[in-house]
Amino acid sequence: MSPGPDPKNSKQEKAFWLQFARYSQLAFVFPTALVVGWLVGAALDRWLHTTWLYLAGILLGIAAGFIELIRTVLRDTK
Amino acid sequence: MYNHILSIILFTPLVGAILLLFVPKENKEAIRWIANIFALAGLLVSLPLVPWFWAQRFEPGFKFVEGTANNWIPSIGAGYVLGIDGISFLLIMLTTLLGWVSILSSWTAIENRVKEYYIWFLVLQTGMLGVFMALDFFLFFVFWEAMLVPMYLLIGIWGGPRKLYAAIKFFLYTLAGSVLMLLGILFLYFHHHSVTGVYSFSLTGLYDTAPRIYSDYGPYAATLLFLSFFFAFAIKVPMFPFHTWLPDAHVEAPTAGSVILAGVLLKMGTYGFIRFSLPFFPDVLTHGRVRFWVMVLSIIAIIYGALVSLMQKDMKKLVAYSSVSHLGFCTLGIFALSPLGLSGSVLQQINHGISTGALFLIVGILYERRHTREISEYGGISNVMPVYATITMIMFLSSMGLPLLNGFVGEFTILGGTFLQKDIAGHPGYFWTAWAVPGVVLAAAYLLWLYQRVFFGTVTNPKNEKLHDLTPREVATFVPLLIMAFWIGLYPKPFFQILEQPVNHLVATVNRDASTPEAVANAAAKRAGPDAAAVPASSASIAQPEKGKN
Amino acid sequence: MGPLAPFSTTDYLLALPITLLALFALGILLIDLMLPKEQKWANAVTALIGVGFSAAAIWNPFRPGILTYLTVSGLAGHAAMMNTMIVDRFAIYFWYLFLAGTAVAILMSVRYLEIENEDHGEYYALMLLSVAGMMCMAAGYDIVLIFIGLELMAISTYVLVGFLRRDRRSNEAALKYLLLGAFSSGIFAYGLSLFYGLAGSTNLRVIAVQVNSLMQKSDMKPLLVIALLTTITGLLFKIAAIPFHQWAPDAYEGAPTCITGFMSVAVKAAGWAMLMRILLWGLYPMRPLWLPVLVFVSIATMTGANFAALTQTNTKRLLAYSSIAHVGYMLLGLIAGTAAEIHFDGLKGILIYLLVYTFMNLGAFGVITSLRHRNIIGDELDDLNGLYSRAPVEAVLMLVFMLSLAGIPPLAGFWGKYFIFLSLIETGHYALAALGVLYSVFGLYYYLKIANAMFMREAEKGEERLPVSYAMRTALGITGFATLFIGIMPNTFIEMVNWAWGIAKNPAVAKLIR
Repeated sequence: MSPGPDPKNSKQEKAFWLQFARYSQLAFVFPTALVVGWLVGAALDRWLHTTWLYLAGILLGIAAGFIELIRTVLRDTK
Repeated sequence: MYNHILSIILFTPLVGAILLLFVPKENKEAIRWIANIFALAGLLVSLPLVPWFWAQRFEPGFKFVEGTANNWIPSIGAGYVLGIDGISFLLIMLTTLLGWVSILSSWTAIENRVKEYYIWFLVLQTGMLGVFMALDFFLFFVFWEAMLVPMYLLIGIWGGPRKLYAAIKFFLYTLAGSVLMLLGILFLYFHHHSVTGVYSFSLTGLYDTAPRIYSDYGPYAATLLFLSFFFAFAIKVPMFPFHTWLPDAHVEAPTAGSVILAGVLLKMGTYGFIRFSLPFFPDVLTHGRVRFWVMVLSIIAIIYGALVSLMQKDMKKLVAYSSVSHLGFCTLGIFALSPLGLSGSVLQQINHGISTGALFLIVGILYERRHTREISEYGGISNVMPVYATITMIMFLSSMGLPLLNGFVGEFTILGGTFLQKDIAGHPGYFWTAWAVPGVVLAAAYLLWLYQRVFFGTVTNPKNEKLHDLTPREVATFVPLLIMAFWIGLYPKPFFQILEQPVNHLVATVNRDASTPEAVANAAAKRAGPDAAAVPASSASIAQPEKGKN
Repeated sequence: MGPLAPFSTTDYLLALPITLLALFALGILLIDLMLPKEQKWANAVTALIGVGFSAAAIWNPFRPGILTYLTVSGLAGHAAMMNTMIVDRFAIYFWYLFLAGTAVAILMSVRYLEIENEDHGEYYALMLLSVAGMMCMAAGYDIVLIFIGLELMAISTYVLVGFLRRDRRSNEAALKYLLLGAFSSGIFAYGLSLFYGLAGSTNLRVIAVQVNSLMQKSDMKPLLVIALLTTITGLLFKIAAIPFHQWAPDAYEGAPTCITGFMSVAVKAAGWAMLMRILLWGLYPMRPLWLPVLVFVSIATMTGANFAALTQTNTKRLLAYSSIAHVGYMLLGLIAGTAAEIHFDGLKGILIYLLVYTFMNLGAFGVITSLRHRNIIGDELDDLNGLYSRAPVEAVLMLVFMLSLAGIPPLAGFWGKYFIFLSLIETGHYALAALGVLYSVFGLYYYLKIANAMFMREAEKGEERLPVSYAMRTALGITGFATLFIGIMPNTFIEMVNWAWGIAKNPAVAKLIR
């Protein structure tokens, strides 16, 4: 289990986890954008009987995820 | 030979299977002869075991132990260890006998892809024997899983019209149970390591450490572990809510497959209960509600299986559901936890192998002649096939538990053993017995009604007028079963003597641990102690065994 | 790691296996020009010799210094090329794994290329070059070398996927693979560049030290999280974990079948080597951060892949999803342990898994490759119908591979799952373990679909027997034997993995594979 509680360390650790919780949402921005792009693309593929729109969706999703990621970081580091 | 008798019994069928690989598949007669010779050889090499085992039947412990722990995969502590006690001895003899009978019965039933059929059948035989012989938990698991593959192929290739569905269902159901058991095995393995400092799957080692789980990890964890094993075995038996694979598998399987499925495969579940669940988790059974629900499920299986049998229009399905009912008696006897009930349960497993195996052969013979199993298609068969009708009558009577035949001895011992227990999960023994007894009555009802519809009266269906009676080969398949049925029915004493030592030992094990509640309380106090949280579980329990033993 | 040493003979000797492969690749290109059309099979022989030489160079008796280094100092290896490369047991294990997979894939390719009429020398040259890239990935101790290795492997694979120039499916697959692969490489490079910026070095060890001290500071830099996320996304793309898996089914389906086999084992193993190298050597201090991501991805992967595989009617696509599902199980091995410390049994499990997976999956693709003849492509599920009557040996081998993939003992595939679940139980992840085993039951269903088609359905296209080349027979023989042998006698291989992680107890075994 986690290493024994050390008062100084635990305070630090708490701050760390707090920050971690704040940034953990970032972990989901990227995959979510990707998955949304993919699903939209795949749905279009099915509708229009094409085989490559999902790819465009993924790429768009990746780009959108990236932009969102960088914007969040820039906002936070100001 | 004496020292390696178990290995010889185990691998004789496999040698036959490998030999068959080299026979060209067009040569069907040669394939049949070789397969039958090896099946008979499998029976013959197991016969010396009878006097040898008899000579030491009252001695404690496992006999004919072969191999040492760790000799197979030293880096994880698994070994090729074989050994038997009275319980597995009887089941092994049943397996070799039924294996021969069912291979003999397939002579004319299987016409296409003969070579593969016999190869898979012989492989299956080795797998089943391995399950009953393994004294290493890992080896047991390997046999337990590997044996599914040939059975799956037997159902799937030579089965009836819905064979694909039945085969996959069989495989998935049984696998789903056994993967959870794997997790349970791994947990026991680590627990054994944390207690003794040795990584080992050896059964004798686990017998010492596994019961400690209740005190080391608490009732909740122990119950979960018990359930992880319970699902694997209950699906195999099959107990009531897990039985749905059974009718499908039985109906679609070829006759010999059904015989082996009912005769031996189902016993692996009850064997698992006896060999693992009881000695590993005695406290789970003696405390808590688990035992109550297991008993309830057994009762439901007895009544429900019998009632559903009554309703069947298909003979094979009827026999399949009757298995659910009979196996309900077996689990009832096991979880009654009395020496009498347990030995009755083992004996009933043997009986069920003999009687139900014979019933499937009986259905198979009619099916081979008429290619239908609908009860309404038949009537008055005793007029055309008198020998067949006589044998059927005997086997029906044995299955329903008529005195002088084997079924009576088994069922009566189970019910007696349950009746005499003062307290089973908070209720007196006669309470449970009262619920189980209707099963016996219903068994008589569905079997006799079936007999009346199929055999009595005049021949109503013109197609049945020309049916020929049993051939000598077919009679030969029934002779050993009839002998066994009468032997167990008239003089069961040797069987009880063989079972006496292991069963008494088992019951003593279960009750010893239950009789010291203060040990459990001590362990609980230790768990809650101040240093319990800081010290990792492993090092805490390493210190325990010395204290516990001295 | 000590001061930077100038290049010495040792450096070149350590890099010899990689250099040899590149040289042989170039040699094949030259020899190919001189070969008449009907003797193109000689290219395969050259490639095999190259693989053999490379393997021999790994087992180099002229390096006594390294020998003692490896046997004495456990996990530590020998750094080379100014600390950009590290030849440790982990790297050596993966090198052998890549070479074994490649050798079998080469054997599978010979006849297939003849049938497709695409028997060019570049095929084998590209294969060897991509293996050289993989070796850099496994032995890279510097993110630049790892990235170069990755790109060398990836670009070669893009071309190989599109190698059937006349086949529209193959071209489309290559294009899709290229687009997504390039994007994921870009994301990966972005993350690596951030780490360079944070640590001031491209060396993994320096990065580990710097990241460790950055993690201690209370104002955790968001950049660190971004760097980790992008890096890990790139890595997960390469091993095709859901939700970064979309390229895999298309690329697997469109590629020449032998290349699909190659991709599913060697390329995937390389992705794993890189993932483990970066996460365990470089970013290990960040384990509390990447652990939840891996838990999420692993559950998503097992769930998504197993469900998607159920509905597939194309065997190659089905196996593509199955290989994604296996990634999910393997990820569990990295999860085992606490947030602070990883558990060795899980790591053992991953290496064993990759080893057995190499043989069983290549074998399965080998059988599908052997179905390709004349006008039948043979990669639809229905093409397998009644395979037993046409090709009994292949059918039985395929059954063995399928059951092994499903993890039925005593076949090799069981051992991968065994150690993964062992580590989960040992470290108390009971829920994940239960989920994993139940999904493996789920997996059995679609493997049995293949078995059903082969054994229990009737053939539609006649009873014609399949012509199988000797090379293919050898390949199937090797994979089938390995699947059975590792399954029944796993001890040596477990010892081997123990050795790779520096915990071998049996020196004889360690000596054997050294």
